[in-house]
Amino acid sequence: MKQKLNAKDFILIGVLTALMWIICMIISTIMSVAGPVTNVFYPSVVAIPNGIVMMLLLAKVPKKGVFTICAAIQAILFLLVGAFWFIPIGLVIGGVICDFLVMGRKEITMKSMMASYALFSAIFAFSAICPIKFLQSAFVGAMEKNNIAQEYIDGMLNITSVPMLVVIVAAGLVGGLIGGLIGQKALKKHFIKAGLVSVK
Amino acid sequence: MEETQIKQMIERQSLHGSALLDPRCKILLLVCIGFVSYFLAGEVVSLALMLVYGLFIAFGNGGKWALKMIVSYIIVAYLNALLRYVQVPVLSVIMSVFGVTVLKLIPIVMMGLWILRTTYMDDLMVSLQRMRLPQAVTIPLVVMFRYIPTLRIEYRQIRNTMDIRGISDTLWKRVSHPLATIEYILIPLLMRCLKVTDELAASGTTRGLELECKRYALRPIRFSWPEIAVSLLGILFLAVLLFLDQTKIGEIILWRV
Repeated sequence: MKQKLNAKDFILIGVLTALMWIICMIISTIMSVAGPVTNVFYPSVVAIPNGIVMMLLLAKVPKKGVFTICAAIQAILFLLVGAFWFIPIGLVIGGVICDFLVMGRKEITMKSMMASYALFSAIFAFSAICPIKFLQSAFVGAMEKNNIAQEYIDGMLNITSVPMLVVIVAAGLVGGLIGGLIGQKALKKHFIKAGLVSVK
Repeated sequence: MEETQIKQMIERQSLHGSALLDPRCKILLLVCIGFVSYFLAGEVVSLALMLVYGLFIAFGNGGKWALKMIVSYIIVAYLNALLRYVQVPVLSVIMSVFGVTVLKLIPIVMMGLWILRTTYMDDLMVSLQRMRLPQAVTIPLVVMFRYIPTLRIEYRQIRNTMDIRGISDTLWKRVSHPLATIEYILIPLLMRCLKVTDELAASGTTRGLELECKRYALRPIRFSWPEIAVSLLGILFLAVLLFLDQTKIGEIILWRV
């Protein structure tokens, strides 16, 4: 656990984060276009395929700081495509929290990997959706100015009421859990069997 | 070869004009555009943003690309306007949201891909290090910028292989078995990622990617007067656009059918 990250680990983080970010972009674009109901649940759906990638990353580089770097890189990318500033901040904070959760103990196990990933995706869901509630008037103004159809705005307002927010964050948590589960299954089936990684 | 000869070869570059600006300057402009683009609603103002930055890009090896993006912007805007006269229950809502999203994304995509094409990764690395960012941020970022275009090639190759073997080759199969699709596409992609990582690490280490000491660059990388002028002008222009958007000019309807 005391090892420092070296250049090879950084390169692996970069490559896999690129993959995760592309997946995230594709799914979020499709889902936010499809309608207000699917729009707010996109973080939990994104978490499922990304779970496989994240589990591989954590299994391959079991060192301190992986989560934080991964989240920070994603945050920078979100900033570059003009996302709302709440998402990058939420991502970095989530990454740091998860890092300490995983690294609090001595070794990374399957369970702690999954728990921290679920928490991370819940934080992502919170930071992606909750600004819509907190800054409702600004969002509605921006959407009305952009000629987005009135039905979509109404649907968006209905879906982001306070009880629904809890459901959304919970969905992020569940999505992370499912993603982690699938990811670990895929890890066992393909990567551990091939001898590419080893996890306790 | 003589040393001067080598130097000449390296200095004979294909980039010129605004493409030679410091990468930091370009990235700053990109972040500002991304921030402003979603808040601009006026159609004239958005078109002005598109045209001015298209001109900026055209001065640095991006003339064709800028023209392509501006033409597609105008086409999408017209189609969006056309949509108001067609009423299909669910589809028109979806299409209007889609159209607006695409319209807001086009300036960002134009600028972002231009930066990717005209920036040497070495320059980016040096300039990021001059910002005193730690290695933990610079190396993954640089690797990622380099790897995103490669991902598309990898994906196409995997699809080709799947087609040859007849695995989930119809749209219906892809939709009805989402988990299998994820597994069939993602796992080979991950395997390739692991392999590419090994190769990149070997090539990077031999070129001194890991070194912590100060880097020197053949091309001058400095945030000097041209960069300061360009970034100030760019930010000022965006601020003026935001201001104009609030006035009468923002309400002019440009795309009428």
